[in-house]
Amino acid sequence: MNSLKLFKKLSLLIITLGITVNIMAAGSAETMPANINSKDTISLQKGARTYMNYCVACHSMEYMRYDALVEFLEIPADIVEKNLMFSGTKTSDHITNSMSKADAQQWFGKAPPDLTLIGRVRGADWLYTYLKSFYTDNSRPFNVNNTLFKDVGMPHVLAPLQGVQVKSATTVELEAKVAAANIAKGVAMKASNTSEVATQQAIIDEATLAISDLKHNGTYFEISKAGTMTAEEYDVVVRDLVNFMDFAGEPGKLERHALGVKVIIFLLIFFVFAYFLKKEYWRDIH
Amino acid sequence: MSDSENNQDGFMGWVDARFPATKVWKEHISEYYAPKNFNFWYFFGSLAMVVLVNQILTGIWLTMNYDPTAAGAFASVEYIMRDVEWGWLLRYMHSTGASAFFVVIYLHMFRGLMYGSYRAPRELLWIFGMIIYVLLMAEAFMGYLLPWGQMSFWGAQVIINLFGAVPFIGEDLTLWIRGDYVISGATLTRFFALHVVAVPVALLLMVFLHLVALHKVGSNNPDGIEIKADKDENGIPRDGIPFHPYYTVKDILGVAGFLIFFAAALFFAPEMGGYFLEPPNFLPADPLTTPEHIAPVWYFTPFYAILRAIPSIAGSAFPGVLAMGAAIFVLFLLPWLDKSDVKSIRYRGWIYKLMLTLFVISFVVLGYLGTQSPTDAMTLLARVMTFVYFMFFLAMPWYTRLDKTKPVPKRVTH
Repeated sequence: MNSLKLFKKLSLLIITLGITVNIMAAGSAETMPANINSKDTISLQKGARTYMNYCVACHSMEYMRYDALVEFLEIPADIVEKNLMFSGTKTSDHITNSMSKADAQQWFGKAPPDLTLIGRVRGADWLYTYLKSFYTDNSRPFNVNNTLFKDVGMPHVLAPLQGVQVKSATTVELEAKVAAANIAKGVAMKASNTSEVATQQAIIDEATLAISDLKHNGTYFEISKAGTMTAEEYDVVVRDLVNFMDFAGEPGKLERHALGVKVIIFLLIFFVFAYFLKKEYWRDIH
Repeated sequence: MSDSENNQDGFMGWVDARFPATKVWKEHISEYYAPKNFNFWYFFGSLAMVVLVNQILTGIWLTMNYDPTAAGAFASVEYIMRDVEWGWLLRYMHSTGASAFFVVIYLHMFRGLMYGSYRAPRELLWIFGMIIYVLLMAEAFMGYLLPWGQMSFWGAQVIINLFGAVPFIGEDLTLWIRGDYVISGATLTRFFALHVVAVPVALLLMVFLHLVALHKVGSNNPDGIEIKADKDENGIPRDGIPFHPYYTVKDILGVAGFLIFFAAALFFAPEMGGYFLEPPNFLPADPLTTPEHIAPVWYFTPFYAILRAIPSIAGSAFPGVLAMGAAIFVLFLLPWLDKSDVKSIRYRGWIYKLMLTLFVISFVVLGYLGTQSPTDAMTLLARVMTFVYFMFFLAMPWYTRLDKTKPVPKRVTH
């Protein structure tokens, strides 16, 4: 077989594979990009600190050991022991907490999940958006709801930092408009009034578009009572926290990439040798 | 090793007097004559062997640290990923290998479709291959339960419930498969036993028989010519070359090329955007929480799409289940459905080329649809594609006769 043809076919194969994966990855318009950097150790360390201060009391990371903070995040073992360990006695212990599942079930309606692998379940963008999407909703037990995770049982633990976030007046007005138009559309549909259905649908489409504009330019929410941080500072805290959760999903990820580069370089060189070996043996075949 | 048949001296002589080592080596390796015109598509047989060995070796080492209990399975996989030395590499080699196995097998089967490798005298070779494929699906399905994640649990739930659609015995059948009224630790342990012992043993046996059948009838080739029909004065096919060293060195090249792609997936995209490892499977199995969207792993989705495309009759999903079974079973009949005078696509007319293209399109589109939540438009498309899929086989006796074929040369071409 001629080798050019082989290369052509192989490259076609990988392009097809690449396109499929891209299609799969796209299609999450609801979330904001987290822009995390897995190689930024300082960011990961800060994220670990935030996690241990605000999250771990309810959300264990039971598949990970404190050792991972020492080994991968370069945090000295004595600092981990003194400042970051709230459970266990040795850094080889798993990151658990002392909340019983039964109690938690009663307090929150659903026991807070373990978050070791949440980065691999939801992805960084979802987590980042989620932590920025809590808003005041007095119909909920903790007076707070989340636009990305409707009627979530979790209180807004980071509110002291972010402040109290509410939907802006424009948002409330537009959402009321959509709700009213939906009802009117329903009535019109029952009455088979097609022109009215179209009118109401136009209102819904217009308002929905306006709402998505608000989300894009950052005026969907507003802060009604300031926290200890500016919006920019809060974004950084959330980004670092999400970076840490992403890390916890697979602490050895960077190691995997580094090994992958070496393996592929070896295989490429091996391929060249294999190619010439084959060519030498096949010289007499016509 | 000696090439002379009379050599009875030395170590090999001693062995050969007691075990046909040299004879087997010659018959199956150094004097097994394969057509010299194998192209790119002929790499996938040897690649399937490489992936099989990869699965068995990594599987053995995974078993050393895996805990096949409902309480411990999920945590033990994370233990392998984090605490076992090179455990993450073993696990990713195994999970990526599972998908690679199907990539390789699907391309291997497609090669058979293109060059008529299933035609007489290779019917049994094809059937053994099909049995391997069915075993492989069982192996992959049971293996996917073992991490005990949400998709493991709910995917198995969906598939096992399919057996419940069988009239009269359905309920008892699902109970017998699960070993419990719901998927539980009992299901996990039996799937573990089947996945690591029973099915692999059956697979190895079938691969052995597949090779025995291959070496009895000889390899087909891109021209679909029987090279044994034209032998030289020594009884060696004029278009044949010894498997070793020619195809051993060539297959080393194929393996090297394959491993580059395999390593790229393994080290840089082991989840493959949710196709190889589905995101909900990083949540432990929870019988009380159904995931929003349950989709089987990509290699099952064409058949899953066929299942969903067939409407229920009187509230029973049995017609869909039958169609899904038929979609696999019909492949077994291929040797007898094809009535063409020629084997290879090279000498067939436009009808077969068109039908094969449509078949590939239907398989890929069904595969995509199987990953998506159904909508009306998608269901319609799935029905059209299911029709196309079956027409490739069911209309084959007619269109292969109608198709105007070209004369086949006496000797292979390059």
